[in-house]
Amino acid sequence: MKEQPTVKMLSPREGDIPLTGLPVWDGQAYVLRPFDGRTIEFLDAFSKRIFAEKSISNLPEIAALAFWLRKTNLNVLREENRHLFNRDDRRTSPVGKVFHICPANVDTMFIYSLAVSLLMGNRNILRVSSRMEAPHVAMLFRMLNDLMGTGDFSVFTTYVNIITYPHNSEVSGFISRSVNARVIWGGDKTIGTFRDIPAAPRTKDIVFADRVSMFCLDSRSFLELDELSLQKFMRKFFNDAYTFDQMGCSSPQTIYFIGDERTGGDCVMKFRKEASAFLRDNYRADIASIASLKLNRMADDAMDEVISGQSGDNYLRLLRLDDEVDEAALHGCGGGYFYYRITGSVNQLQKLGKPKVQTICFFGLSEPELEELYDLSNGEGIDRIVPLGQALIFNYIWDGYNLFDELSRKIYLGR
Amino acid sequence: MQLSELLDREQFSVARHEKQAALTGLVSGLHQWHMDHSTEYGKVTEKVFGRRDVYNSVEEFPFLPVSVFKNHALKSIPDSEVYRVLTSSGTTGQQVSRIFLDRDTAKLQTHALSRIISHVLGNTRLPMLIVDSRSVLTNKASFSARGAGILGLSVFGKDHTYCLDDRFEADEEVLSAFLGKYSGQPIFIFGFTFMVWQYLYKAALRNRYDLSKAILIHSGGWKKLKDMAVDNETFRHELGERFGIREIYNFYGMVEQVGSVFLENSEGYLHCPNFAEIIIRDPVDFSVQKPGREGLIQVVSVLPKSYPGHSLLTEDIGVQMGEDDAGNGWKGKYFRILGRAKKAELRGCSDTFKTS
Repeated sequence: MKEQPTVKMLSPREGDIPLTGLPVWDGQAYVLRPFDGRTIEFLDAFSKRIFAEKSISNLPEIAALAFWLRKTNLNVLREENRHLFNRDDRRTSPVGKVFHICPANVDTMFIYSLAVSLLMGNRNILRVSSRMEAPHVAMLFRMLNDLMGTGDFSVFTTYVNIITYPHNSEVSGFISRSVNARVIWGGDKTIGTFRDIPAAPRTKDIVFADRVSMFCLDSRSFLELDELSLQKFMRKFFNDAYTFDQMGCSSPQTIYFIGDERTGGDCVMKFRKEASAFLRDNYRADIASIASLKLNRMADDAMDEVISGQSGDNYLRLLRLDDEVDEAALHGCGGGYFYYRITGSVNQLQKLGKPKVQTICFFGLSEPELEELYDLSNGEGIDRIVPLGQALIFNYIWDGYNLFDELSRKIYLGR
Repeated sequence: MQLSELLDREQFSVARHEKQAALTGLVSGLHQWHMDHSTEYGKVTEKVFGRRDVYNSVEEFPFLPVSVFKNHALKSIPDSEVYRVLTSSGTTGQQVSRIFLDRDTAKLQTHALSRIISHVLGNTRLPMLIVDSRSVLTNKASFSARGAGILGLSVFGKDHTYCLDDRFEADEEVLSAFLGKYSGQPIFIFGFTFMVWQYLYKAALRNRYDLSKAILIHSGGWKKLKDMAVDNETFRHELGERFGIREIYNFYGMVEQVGSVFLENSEGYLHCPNFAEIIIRDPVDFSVQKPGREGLIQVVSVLPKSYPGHSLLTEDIGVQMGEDDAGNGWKGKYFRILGRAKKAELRGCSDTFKTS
């Protein structure tokens, strides 16, 4: 007889467990409705625990997560999504069991993925990377487990199962055939891996592919910033671009300096100088390895005729794009390696309407310019347009999906 | 000064003022040659460093990253003139560098190595003891940098004797026969740093051996020894205590730059020969670091003509320790290697399964 595969369970409690023994398979009725009061209480309690733990709640991404999980916010989200379920001729139900394949680096993302799905009443299996061993992530698991261990929230043990296992198509295949939806973070390669693993015919895949993001700034507005506003600007830029070493899908790869050649040129110079100074004080990185990485990439980009020139230092390299290059699919080496163009106006950015483009961050644009930017999204590309400083901030509308909508079933009620 | 003069003069004999002038002239010539014959070199120069007509010092020339030879076949000669292709060692799965030599550059490489080695070994071939197993040459699977290094240096010795058996244990019979035969005469010992330490120094030998007449040249890097907390000083001291070896030369070179061969001087630091130079660069902005401050090591050699490898930025981190003032009278810069820049691990969203 073939041996049962086991996985390492991290939540609702720690320990190795046979795959078929996961609490999520217990076969009981779905007791939680979309935006169920108990779920909101559970997530709110989780939020309170995070806030109470000062050692992690001062990390910006953790604080953002705790704010998002508060009851007040969740109630706002329910109101925003009322159209989904509050009508006479329809009801909304959970989609069922959801398998989340979580990214290894963006280590709060999987909690949002879980929370949205849980809010719709789904049972969840999360596969997290075994490399996710950051102390604050371990602490988040402990908090969840503590909560589920208390009487009030014990129902969630069959709703939240977090596991880890080395890549294994037998395990992934079994789960894929047993769930109603798969949420696949982790980009093209992971999507490819999971598309090769057949799911049940009605299983729905929500996929987050490799994307590229841009930053669009008005040169004149930047040049006019006073010292205080400049520091605020830099902090926001830093959060957007450097939090995940510029390797998150929403971190900008290309910067557009909007303005004429001269104003744009002045802006590039000032931006470079200010950013370098800020980064020297704030960016913790092994600069020798980043220097090598960037020189390699610059040499490659020069030979491939991607760039026509470069400036800056190894905290921030600015690479002037060759006129002929299509940057809509261009991803640099990370760690502060930005392609750029000086562009007369926003409506010259038509080429950004490509499927690969995800987020456009903006700064200093006027209302009409912003409208032009919004218009660019009417087509195949651009899923998010946000002000500087919000590139990485989670919203349930992500990559073109309303995740609440995607993770629910709509039931038609004929009268 | 001509290239031939730098090569033929006694090595480690050209002091700063004269050397800088000579190198600037020769590198300038090479730079122009590669601008004219390698479109890739021309593109990197123009787009990354900016075009300029006059270079006033060696420090001003462009430098390519050493790993550029992994992704690109760079050469400044027509394919018909390629005489030999060198490849770097690399663990399985890694891309290897490919270095294209024509007859002239290959000849220069041999000549340059010989000038450096003969500076410490003299001009006669000495009996050569190799701290390795003969199988390193015959075993195709493991024939690598070690095999190539041994073959490269074998031309400087005679009666080549491998003192380790197939299981890398010291073969005491071979060892004592060799040492008996050449008792009282100078011999040449060569081996990889780790092999010398692990399989000769630490070998359980029945007899005591006097190697006080030996000249030991070793290379291959310190990574493994560092893990065992053995530094150069300990290495030298312990080999002296156990075998009486006093003349020990660490040797650092790289396949990517023909002519960049550095030998340990009397201070225990690596010393630039007449025809090569190092420049330490600040990793923040690639500016030149002052002596005593660490940075990425740039290597410059006036030999590479068949491919644009005359000025390269390595991923090694080092410090310049002095210039022209070594205790043994050697002229030129000398430096210390502190380690290698870690491979940057910037993890993106597309990163769920890489550990497996």
